[in-house]
Amino acid sequence: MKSRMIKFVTCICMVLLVGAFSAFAGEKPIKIGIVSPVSGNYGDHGKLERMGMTAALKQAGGKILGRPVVMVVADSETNPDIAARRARRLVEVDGCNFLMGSVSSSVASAISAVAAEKKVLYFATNGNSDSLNSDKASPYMFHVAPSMAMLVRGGGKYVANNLGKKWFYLTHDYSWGHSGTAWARKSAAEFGVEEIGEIKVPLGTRDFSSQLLQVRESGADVLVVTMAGFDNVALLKQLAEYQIYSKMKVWYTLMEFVDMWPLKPEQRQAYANVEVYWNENSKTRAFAEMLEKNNPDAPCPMPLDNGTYEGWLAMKILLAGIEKAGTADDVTAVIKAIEGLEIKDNMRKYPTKVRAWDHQVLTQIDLIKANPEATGPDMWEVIDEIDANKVARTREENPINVSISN
Amino acid sequence: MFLVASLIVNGIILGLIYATIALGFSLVLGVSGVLNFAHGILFALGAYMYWVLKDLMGFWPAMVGAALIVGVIGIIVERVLVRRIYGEDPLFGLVITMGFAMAVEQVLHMIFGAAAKTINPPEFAQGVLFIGDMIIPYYRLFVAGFCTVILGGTWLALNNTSFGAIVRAGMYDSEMVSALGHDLPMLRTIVFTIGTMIAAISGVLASSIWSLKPGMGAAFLMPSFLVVLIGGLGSIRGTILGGLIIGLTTSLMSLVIPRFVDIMPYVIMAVVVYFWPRGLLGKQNILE
Amino acid sequence: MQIKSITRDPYLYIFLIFALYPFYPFLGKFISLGSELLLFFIFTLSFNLCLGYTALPSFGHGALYGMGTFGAALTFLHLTPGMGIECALIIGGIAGMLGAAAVGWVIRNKKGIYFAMLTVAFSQVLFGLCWRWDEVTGGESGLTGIARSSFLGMDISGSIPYYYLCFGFFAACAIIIRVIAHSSFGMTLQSIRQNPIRATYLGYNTGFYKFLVFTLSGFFAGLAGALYCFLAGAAFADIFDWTKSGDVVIATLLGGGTASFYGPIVGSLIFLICKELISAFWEHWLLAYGLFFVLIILICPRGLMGLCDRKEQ
Repeated sequence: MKSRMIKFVTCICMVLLVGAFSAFAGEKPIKIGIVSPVSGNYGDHGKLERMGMTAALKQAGGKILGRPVVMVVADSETNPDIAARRARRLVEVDGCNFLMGSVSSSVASAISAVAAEKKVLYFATNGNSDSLNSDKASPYMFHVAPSMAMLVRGGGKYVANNLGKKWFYLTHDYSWGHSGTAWARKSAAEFGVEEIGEIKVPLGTRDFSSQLLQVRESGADVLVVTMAGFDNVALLKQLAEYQIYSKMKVWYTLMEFVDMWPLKPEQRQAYANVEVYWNENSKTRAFAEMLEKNNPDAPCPMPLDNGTYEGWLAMKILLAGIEKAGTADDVTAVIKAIEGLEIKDNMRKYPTKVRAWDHQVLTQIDLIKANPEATGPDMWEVIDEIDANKVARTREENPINVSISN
Repeated sequence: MFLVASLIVNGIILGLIYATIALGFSLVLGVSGVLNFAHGILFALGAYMYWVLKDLMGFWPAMVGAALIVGVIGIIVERVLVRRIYGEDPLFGLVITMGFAMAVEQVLHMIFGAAAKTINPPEFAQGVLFIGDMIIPYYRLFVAGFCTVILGGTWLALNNTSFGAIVRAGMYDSEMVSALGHDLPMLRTIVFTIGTMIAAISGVLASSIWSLKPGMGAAFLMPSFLVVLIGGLGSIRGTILGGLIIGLTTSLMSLVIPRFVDIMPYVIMAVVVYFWPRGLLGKQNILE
Repeated sequence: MQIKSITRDPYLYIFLIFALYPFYPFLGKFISLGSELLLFFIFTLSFNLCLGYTALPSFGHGALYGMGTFGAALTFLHLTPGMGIECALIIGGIAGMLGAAAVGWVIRNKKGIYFAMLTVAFSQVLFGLCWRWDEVTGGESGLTGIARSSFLGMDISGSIPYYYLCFGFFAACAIIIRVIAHSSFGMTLQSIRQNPIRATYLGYNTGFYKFLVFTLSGFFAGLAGALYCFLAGAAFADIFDWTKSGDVVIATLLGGGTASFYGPIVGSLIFLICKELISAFWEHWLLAYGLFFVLIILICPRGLMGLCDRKEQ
């Protein structure tokens, strides 16, 4: 009997603990739920995007429509199921009307499913998969990160004309990697480029020696890489180890500053598409310096990376949308206000536009070249600034419409 | 042809590295019957300790230092945590070591941050060796040689010393060892410590190839398991063989079916365990 | 006598607590977490039939759960679009059962760690295939747009109705699993756990019994997975990864599944709720969470319920 009481009491206590935990949901500020990786291998990417969001909120004075705005952070653990659970908690318990974050496309589509179910607005940052605004598109999600179509087509022309016409593809073997290679192929066909070969690498590969031996033997001019995360850091190191750079040029369809930064200067030699570079102009430089000053625990110096910029932009768009709509409680009104919005003070050459029909945010993309001599954080030079309007998918290429204003 | 030859050489080098990473795991499992899921984090700890020490004292002292520090941590882990669950189901060992690994990984996050770090190979092993068109980085050759020394040394020590004989007996029947008057708890502590030190050294060696991240060890946990099961529990030769099989398959399969190189080791393991229930060179062991 | 045995039944209290869950003052808000908890209960209870009752350390149960999820998702999206979820749930359960049957038959005579690793191999191969097969499983971005509609004519699109559907399934599965565990079949399983050699000598085909229990357990795991797919409205390949199987092993052992039938329920409560609790408050929550596991196993090496039962004796 005694043991049963213990069992009983244990159950009750556990359940009541949850009650205590939810008691913190009170007050009435505007709450923005941030679902992004805090722990685990992508903790640094999560940190960067949260830094961007905080900075944008701070620039707006932490207030919109006279109401204070707070960010409620939940750890996505870079796992779609856990991210969905945390997102539901943010909506159900904390009462967030707006969600942000992700870092990977699978997490983004999981949160997007929650947003559609709960009818809240979600900004997908840092997941570049094309599917997020084609077959996974939703009226309740805006895709802040450029899709692979924009990234690859933006850089493809320069690479084909200046680096070589024989391409070899090295790709992460899942949807995102596939879409990178698919768009590279498309632009290759456009510019008369010949495909020498392709290797698809499983996620979680740390040793690329056997793949790189094949790449060396292939006789290609350009190695087109679509690879991300820790695998990519290992690959970057091994590209130098196997002296790939002396045989061919390497072009990354997407690169993060925080991934390339740890390398020794002489190992940084690739060309890459990026969403922003901190030393692009005086505004981004000033912003990066401010970020560095305010975040002593940032994962890299001059912490204005793709993720930081997307987080900053997402928060800026949301605040502008709320202001335009004049309400933070009517999600539909906010979505309507954001559709077609243009952000001019985005620190870049071309303004940012939110496209209404596929909810894609169009922002400038850069093609960069890594400088093998630079010792400080100024390790890249921007060789091309690309207007996203010209390279994003057209309506013929992506025949959907998730706009709710028309 | 050159390509196949370089892939084979590369596969052997990889195999020796995998075998060394798995060696500590295999010894602990063989002697103590504990599924040490902290193996990966001890590997990462070794790498991080080396990262801290290398600029202060250079390659060799830093490696020794890292191994010693992690070895001391190993003793503490064994005495405080793992000791409690000897004789219980190996799965309890899994839970406790996994909990420990989670906690330590987070400590690494707190101290070093989540961002990746890279280390250059030591001065004496930089550059690459060309044989015709074949390319082998000197550092990988050095690592392969060093791994051979560790593996061979362990094998010789187990077969030719009296302590080795006790360890081998412990793998066969631990109760009998303590009945014969040997200090079984001490034996287990020593083996656990040696296992951790080998994990740390393999972490040091691997750090210059694969870069550092707090979660870097997790990627090598399952491969270690596979190596041990393919080769067979309680056999050093088996571990070496298992490592070589995994290294050669991942290397050669990248030519044939590159998309499934990560699944192949599991398929091989399943086939091996199905037809050779104790692995290729396994002997009767304390887990049966 | 009858009434006394009912009032002493822990299930009565567990059911009562969870039947009123949506109406608790603060708790009611955690409605999705509540549904997830109930599904995790089904999952761990089914897993414990293998681990606690037969000493089958299945390390691929996440794969059976995942087969249920994907079985249900694919059925709902392609075979019965726009209809009720009954069919999808049944197919999900059957998918888990068939997966378990196929694997279980091949490895029914493997012992301990070998059994565990063969099940890991199974789940990793499925994970690899699922992650790459974009056309069917959606690959990285998974299957989404699974909007649950109705169950036997009842509208279950809201969170609370779905909670009660999960509760109904949980109650039914929990009772069935206990009946199985306490039946003569369950007793045979326990005898196999305690002494497989003696059970063989007594004339039991131990391999066949292991196959049976693994298959049965696969059905419940698949069903839980299928229910989860409608809770999440999505299915992702990550569910096949071995870490998901690791979660269920850890939850069951922490609760003391080998010591008590109710261990898995206590374990799942602790496992899930502590995770949600600690992670909401501290950036470095994994440190506390990991140490918490270590502490539980140090204090009660056989899991929490092991502690209770020892006191009873």
